[in-house]
Amino acid sequence: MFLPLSAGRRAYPGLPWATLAILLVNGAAFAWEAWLLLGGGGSALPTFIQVWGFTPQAVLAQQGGRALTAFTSMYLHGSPGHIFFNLLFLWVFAPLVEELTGAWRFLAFYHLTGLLGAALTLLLDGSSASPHIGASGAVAGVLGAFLLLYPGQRVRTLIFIGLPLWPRLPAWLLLGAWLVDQAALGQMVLNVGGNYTGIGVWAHLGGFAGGLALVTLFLRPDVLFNRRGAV
Amino acid sequence: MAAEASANPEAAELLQLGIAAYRAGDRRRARQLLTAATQRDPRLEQAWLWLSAAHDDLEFRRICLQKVLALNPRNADARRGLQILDGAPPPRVSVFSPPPAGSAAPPAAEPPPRPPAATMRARPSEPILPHCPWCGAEFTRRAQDRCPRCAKPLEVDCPACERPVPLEAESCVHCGQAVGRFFADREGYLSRLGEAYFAQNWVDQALAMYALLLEMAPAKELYHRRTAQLYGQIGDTVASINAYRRVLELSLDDPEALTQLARWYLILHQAPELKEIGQRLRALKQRSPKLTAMLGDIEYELEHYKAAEPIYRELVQRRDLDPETRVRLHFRLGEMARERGDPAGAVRAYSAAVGLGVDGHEAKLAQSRLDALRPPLPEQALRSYGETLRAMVGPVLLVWLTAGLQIGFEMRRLTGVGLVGLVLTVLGSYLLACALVTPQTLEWREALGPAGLNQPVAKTLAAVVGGGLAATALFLVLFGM
Repeated sequence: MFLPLSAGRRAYPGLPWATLAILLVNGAAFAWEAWLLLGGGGSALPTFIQVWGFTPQAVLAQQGGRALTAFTSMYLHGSPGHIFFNLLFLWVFAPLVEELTGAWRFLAFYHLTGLLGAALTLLLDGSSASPHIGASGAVAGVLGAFLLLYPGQRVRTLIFIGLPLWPRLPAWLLLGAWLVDQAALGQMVLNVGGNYTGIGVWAHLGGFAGGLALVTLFLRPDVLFNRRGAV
Repeated sequence: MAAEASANPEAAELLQLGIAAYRAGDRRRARQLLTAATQRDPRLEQAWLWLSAAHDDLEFRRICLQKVLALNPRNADARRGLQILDGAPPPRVSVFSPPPAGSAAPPAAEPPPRPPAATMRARPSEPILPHCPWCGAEFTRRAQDRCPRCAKPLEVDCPACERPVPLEAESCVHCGQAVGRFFADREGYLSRLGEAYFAQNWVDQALAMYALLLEMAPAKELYHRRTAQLYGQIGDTVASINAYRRVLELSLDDPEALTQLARWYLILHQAPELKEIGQRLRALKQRSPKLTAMLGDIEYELEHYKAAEPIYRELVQRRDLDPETRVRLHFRLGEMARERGDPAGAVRAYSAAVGLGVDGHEAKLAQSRLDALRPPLPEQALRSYGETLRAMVGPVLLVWLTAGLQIGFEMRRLTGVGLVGLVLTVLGSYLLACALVTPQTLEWREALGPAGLNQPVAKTLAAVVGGGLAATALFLVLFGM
């Protein structure tokens, strides 16, 4: 198991406010879910997730919110661990990507990769009747973008191999390992013929591939034309 | 010698004025102005050259000429001047010792000027005529109880009780101590007179007075300080530095002396002296922001970047720094980051320097460094349609993919309203791209004139309409199919 802790500082001063806004909305949505769980009775939260989560079978059957749920599901999470890991990855990697895209383009990019994750889920796991929730598709898009933009960047990573270690690993190694892990998981799902893992592997792979392929379209012009080294 | 252009317009103007003063024969004024020019812009080669001609001290001339050669090794005037200096008898003392009386002729072709300090340091002829201790005006007759110029009562402090006694009194009116007319407290009277001259900016008279006072009380810090300030005013740097060093001998932590000496040693790149001042500054228990900045500058000058950086970082957090100093600190932080191979840190610091909006040499330099690290967008990129298309892709893909998900990627489910939404997306994203991302596309330039979409109304209008169309398109796709 590994946890990224820091991917380095931004070159320009100022806050990554698009990233912060996404974190805030995710946090608010999770607080709402917690309120539903604690104060709304036993069925309030499952119903809420059923309505606003992305359910491929319902989309194909043209039921429910359809594409709208692809957006709303990006802000819903199933457990504290789920939201913590997604937002940790987002907080570590997104500010540096946002720096090269600008806030508005980053918002568009983030949602587009989330949609791509949902689209791949729809295409490869269309029979799934359970709602898919989580920011992981969009976050995977950010990881893909990071791998393309900062392949050599050293990322402080917490690793548990018996003892906790926190080396600074190159991004290509860290994200490459993550991608291999996800690809293996996808292959296993294909072999089994159904996704029983509880992990949105297609959203991850779709988002990651989308981020890798599309981030160039979202870079600020000065970055695209003049980017050198780490800057 | 023609005056060169400086990045600092103030320095360039001072240089011109200094040259004019020199040509008019006012060497003292020339020194003042040229010294100020070198302080504003230490890279102003011509200012150093003219300053060398305007100065009398051979060692200082040598330093000025060496500065010129450091800035421009091909400067023939400076080379010739140094050659002449090398042929002249060596100076007997260093720049930091008192200048030799009756110095040798200056190296350049100019005739040796009358050393202004010589007359200033001359002891006034005895007996000193009574002057107003408040404004320095000379009395026409003694029996006056008020100064004819400033109308203040003519008094000196009683040496016993330190209360004011009329100049004409034989004994103190308060305690009865015999004062023997006003010369009883000769030093007190002369000191007050010196202060009066100083306040009136009568430099010659004030210098003469303090020279006399220093003979009477060589360990009095104030007299050395005033002497240093007065020599500083007339641009006699060597004498000013020497006087400040006396101040520092008498008062180890004197902030003014430390600041002034550090400033000069920084300009003259005197590493050993800078080290000494740096040690004194570091030893201070409490430092004002100015002294802290000076310590940072010294560490920076000595290339002790590890020591300079935390000082600068601490200083830029302060709110009471003036913008020019802040720009300088950020710029230098950028230089240090670049030096240690941290381009991201350098960009961050240079951006902060440029972001302050101060139009100075360091801000321009920071911008040029930024341009080198992250060059500005090439003109063809701004003009090309490719950039507009690239900017359009994001919103278009977002809405179209949403539409695809909405209909489960089955084209037969696409409705007319949805189709309108897809078309509107293209139009809206085009307007957004032109307004926010690629404002200089050819067709917009043609439509709106040379300013293109930099016209605020057109830009805002395009952004609002484009954003509105894109939002409408998304709404139609989500709720119209």
